[in-house]
Amino acid sequence: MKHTIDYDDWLGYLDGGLDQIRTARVREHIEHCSECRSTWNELLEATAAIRSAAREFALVHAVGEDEIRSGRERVLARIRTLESRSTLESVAAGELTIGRLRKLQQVVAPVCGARTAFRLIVAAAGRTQVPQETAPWRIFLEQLTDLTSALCGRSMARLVWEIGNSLP
Amino acid sequence: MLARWIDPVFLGVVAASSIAANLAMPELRIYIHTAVYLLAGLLCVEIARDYDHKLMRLSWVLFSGEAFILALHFPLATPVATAWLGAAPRDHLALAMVQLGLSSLLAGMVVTWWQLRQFGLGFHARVMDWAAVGAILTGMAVFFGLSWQGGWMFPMMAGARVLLFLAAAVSILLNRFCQQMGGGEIARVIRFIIAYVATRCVMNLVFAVNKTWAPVALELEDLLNVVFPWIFLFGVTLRARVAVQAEAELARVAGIASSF
Repeated sequence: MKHTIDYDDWLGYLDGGLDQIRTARVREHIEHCSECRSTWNELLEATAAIRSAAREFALVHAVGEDEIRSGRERVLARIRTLESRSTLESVAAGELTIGRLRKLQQVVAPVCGARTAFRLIVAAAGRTQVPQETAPWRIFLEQLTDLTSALCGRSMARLVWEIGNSLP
Repeated sequence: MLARWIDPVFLGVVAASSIAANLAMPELRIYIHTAVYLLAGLLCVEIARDYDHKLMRLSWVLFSGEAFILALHFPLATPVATAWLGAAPRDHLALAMVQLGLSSLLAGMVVTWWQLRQFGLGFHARVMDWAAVGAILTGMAVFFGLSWQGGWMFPMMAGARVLLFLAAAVSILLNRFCQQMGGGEIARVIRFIIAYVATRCVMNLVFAVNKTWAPVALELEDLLNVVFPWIFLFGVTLRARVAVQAEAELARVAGIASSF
């Protein structure tokens, strides 16, 4: 028997998207052609299986309003925790840096004077331009060492460098 | 390093003993002053070597110039030098050396002042300082007036005195910077140099008074003459000790670091 149904006709018939004439022609062919009837039955079973699987998937992974709300709250809580942790970390880092600066000031002050030591640190910080992903403390220390060397000599500068690098 | 072997307390004891001996035996002055300036010059060289910064190094090279020139100047007063050179040429050479030494000292002070300003650490002179500089320059004019009135000022002596007064003027500006430093060894060293210049200025003023009117302050002039090289040596020693102490501390820090 000659098959008069092409690929598009099958899809259209399955979806119900064919016009009346073509729908009638496909239906008539399926009734008379055992091979195409068998194909049609297979298509119906496969479609039913797919729809059933999709329903199951939707049931399993369905997210209700409550769940969406609680999930949103969990995410926000997590963000808040991360923010507060980073704030704490930045405060701790700030305190650490202040501690280091105080130590360096204590090293330089007996030689250059208390006010000069403070100004040296400020000047070094002002000169420190930190590129991305580099250690700002090291760059700052280089600047401070440079300034100390100019004012107090190489020996003092080496001391500042060593102590600055040994600070926790 | 020479500074490692010089303890400031020990130096103080030596200075006091030397000054006492010097006052009792003036003939020792030449040798003691020569030794003091020679030591100061060597220490200045050590300090200059501690600086990588060109102008700060230059300032200490200039200070060493003052020390070495004066170390060569004092032996000119020995009988051997007089016999070899003759009295007049010896005096001429001695005055030229004083002038050269003071030029070196003044240049060193100016370079220090200039460089401290250039550091951008907020060192600046105030209006009062400039007024004090004006007062010193007026004092210089008075001094020269007295000198000419007394009729004892030679042109070469005048040149040296001008340099000394100019150094005193720069001292005013440096003293302000010392105040702005908020203490510290560097400020103390600069103040010793200021005291050195001030002592020499007072010495010259007392000399002028003694020459012009009456020898009313001969003992003071004598005392200042004995003391002033030691002031310079003390200042230089303190600065040289900074490097020594820094290296000792560095060794201690390195020792702690390596023990972990």
